[in-house]
Amino acid sequence: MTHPVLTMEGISKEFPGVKALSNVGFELYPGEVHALMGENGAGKSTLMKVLSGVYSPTQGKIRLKDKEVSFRNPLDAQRQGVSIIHQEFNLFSNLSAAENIFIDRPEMMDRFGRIRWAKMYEEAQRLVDSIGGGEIDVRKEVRHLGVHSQQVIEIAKALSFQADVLIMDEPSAALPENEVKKMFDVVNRLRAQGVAIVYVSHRMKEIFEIADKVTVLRDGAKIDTRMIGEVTEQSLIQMMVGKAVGQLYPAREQQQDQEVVLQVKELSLDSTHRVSFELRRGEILGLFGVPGSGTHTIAERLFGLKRGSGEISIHGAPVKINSPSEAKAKKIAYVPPDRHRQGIIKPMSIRQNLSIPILPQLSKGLVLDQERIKQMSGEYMEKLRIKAPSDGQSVDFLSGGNQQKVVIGKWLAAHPDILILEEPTRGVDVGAKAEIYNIIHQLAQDGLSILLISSEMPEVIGLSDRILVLYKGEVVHEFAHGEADQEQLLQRASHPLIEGGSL
Amino acid sequence: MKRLLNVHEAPIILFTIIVTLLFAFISPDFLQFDNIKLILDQNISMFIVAIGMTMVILLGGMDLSVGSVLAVTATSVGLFLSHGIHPWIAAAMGIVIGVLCGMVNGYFIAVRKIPDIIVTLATMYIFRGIAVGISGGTWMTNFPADFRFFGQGHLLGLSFPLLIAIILIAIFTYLLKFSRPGRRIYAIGGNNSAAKLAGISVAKSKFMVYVLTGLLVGIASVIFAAKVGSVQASTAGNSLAFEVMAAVLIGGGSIFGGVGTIAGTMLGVLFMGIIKNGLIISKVSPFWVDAATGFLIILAIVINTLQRIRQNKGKEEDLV
Repeated sequence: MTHPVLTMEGISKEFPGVKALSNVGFELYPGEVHALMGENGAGKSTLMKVLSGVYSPTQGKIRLKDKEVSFRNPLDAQRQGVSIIHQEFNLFSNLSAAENIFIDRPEMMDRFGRIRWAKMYEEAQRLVDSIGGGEIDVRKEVRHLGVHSQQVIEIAKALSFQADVLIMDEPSAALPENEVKKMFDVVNRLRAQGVAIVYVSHRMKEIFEIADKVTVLRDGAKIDTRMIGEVTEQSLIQMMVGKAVGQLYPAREQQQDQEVVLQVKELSLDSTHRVSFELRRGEILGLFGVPGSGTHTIAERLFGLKRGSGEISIHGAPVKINSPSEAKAKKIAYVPPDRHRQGIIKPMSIRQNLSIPILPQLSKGLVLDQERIKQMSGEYMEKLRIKAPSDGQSVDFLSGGNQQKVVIGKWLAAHPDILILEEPTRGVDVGAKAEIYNIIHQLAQDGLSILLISSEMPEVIGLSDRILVLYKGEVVHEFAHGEADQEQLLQRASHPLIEGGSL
Repeated sequence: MKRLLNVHEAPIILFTIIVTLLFAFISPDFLQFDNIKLILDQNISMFIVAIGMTMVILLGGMDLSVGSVLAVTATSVGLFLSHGIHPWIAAAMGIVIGVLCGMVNGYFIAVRKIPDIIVTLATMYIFRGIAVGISGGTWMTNFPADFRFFGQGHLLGLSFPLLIAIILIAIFTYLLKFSRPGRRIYAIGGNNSAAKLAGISVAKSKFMVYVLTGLLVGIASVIFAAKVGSVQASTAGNSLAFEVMAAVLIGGGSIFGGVGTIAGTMLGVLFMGIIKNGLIISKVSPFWVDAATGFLIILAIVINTLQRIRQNKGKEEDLV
């Protein structure tokens, strides 16, 4: 195979204030599985969005089968032969597998515009069979199918467009362990059929098992492309994390306070997995793990969003937390990972958003005390440096960083003892990140106990006093202050069975 | 002027003024004091019910049953009166029935978590059916003169129903803007999960809103019965739910919740009243009034949408 099916040249993508990709080149040959790796924020997903027609690049060219192309939208890309399978499947669970594969396709209609069901079922079954999904009945509604079968349907959908290039984004994330092998079988069949596959994944083990080549991105730039035989797990990690960790993180003094504020014993995350840990006064405890490791569930359990077994003690007293309002009463605050869906209330002003968790404290009887609200909101606007003409501004008009500060601010106003921060800087530009880090640092200095859950390694390492690494619902390692570096952290989180960890 | 244009209710105010001027131009009778009084008077029940519907829609919900609640309440009051119960007690009992209806809606929607459209669709039939059943299909008429005071009386130089409506509007405007429960309604409608995560009890707020709506419909139905002087269980308040919902949306409310004000809704009710009255005064054939009303509703809502788009311009582009 000497001729690439796809070439991306000098791809750059800029968003207001951020350069997400700069001058990235990428070549893909027929019949190869090409792994794409990089940390969160390295530009993997932006590059794949450019390739699949979600974004158009600010600069650069895409050549598909020797023809320069530009994709107007994902459907256009699909028609021209580039399909993407997202981590979250895009299936209509209420429709049959066959309909999902051939939804809204003129070739499945007769000349009166009627759907040709027989033809659709037949072709769908043929496609599914061709990738080893013979046991799937394409007449069945998708919601009755297992996760692996749903993935096969997604792949069949892509193939129905005669895909030359198939992008698979974290294809194993949704699959149970025993089905990953089945997925590999499908990928191998596709490879044999000459399809070029981009395989985006965090999981080292899989990359070495399935990929022919690997390209590493970091900070929006391509670091290198290598044959899989030329790299080791260690050298890949080094390429991914680089060396420089800038001055984003304020210097942290070792905490002397030994008072345990939160003690968690045998807290259940699901039917089989339990975790135990302690959080001290003024401590920042980092929780790190790849998606599915259980860090998010810990937050849900502690904030009363999910029930289960186990003991939670606060200041030594056992407590039960069954709802967010009970958590609030126990002085626990939670900044959720998805600011838009769970954090801000868009139609409301900054001031109103800040006052929401503490309405009872801000009112006399049923009536709100406008003076106190104004005073409180002014205080937190200043403390968190929320940049807006006034606190009457609607939060919808703020930048991501300022919206995030509002979400943090509304919980600080509740004067919590324990603050759970989940992805506190997701979708926030670098300047605002540094500010948020300073705020977190200052809060811990003032004695607040912080549980920091983040998928950004530098953030976890830069801020935490201790780090617990989780893997599939279990704490697999604890790093003391200053002990962790990114290589070790990533290794523990993605492949905990390897002993040692020195490079 | 610019400040004025940015007021949330600006489009509906402008549009109402334009329509008013148009009708005044077509017919000199339109802007007469008596006619304006008539418009207000005819729509008193709608004003009151619309207060409740504003809260329901602010939550992101809807209530199809208000017309049936009005029918069952008004019919009950009629029955109480025909059994010689004192008008004040009959009225109070009627309002309690309204509250009970609201509790039924609230229970299934907030506690049992059944979608509001399903619950209120069902109770729309149930309450209407009960009204028809207890009335035995006959008209309730011959209310005592004391009772008619609620619909036709005067106090402090103002018509009594108008006075009640003004008081209720003032109270609920204040509560929505300045009270804790009021802000909770906006928070829930604006972002349900964020409100839940802020420790707000969504179920409690929802239940309360449906109960308050029942209370308001109860009050409206007493005024309705007393003003009209007769109640027919099968027709009373027949299109009320839709008219009131339309008024909320015309007044700038968002069907997705979180956006809207009582002031806007009241303008919406006024707007609908003006259209109906104006079309008749302008000698538009009564057969065409509904079609014309529908057309003007769409026009009003399009104008609202345009204003929202205009305000959202220049917003920072979202990353990710």
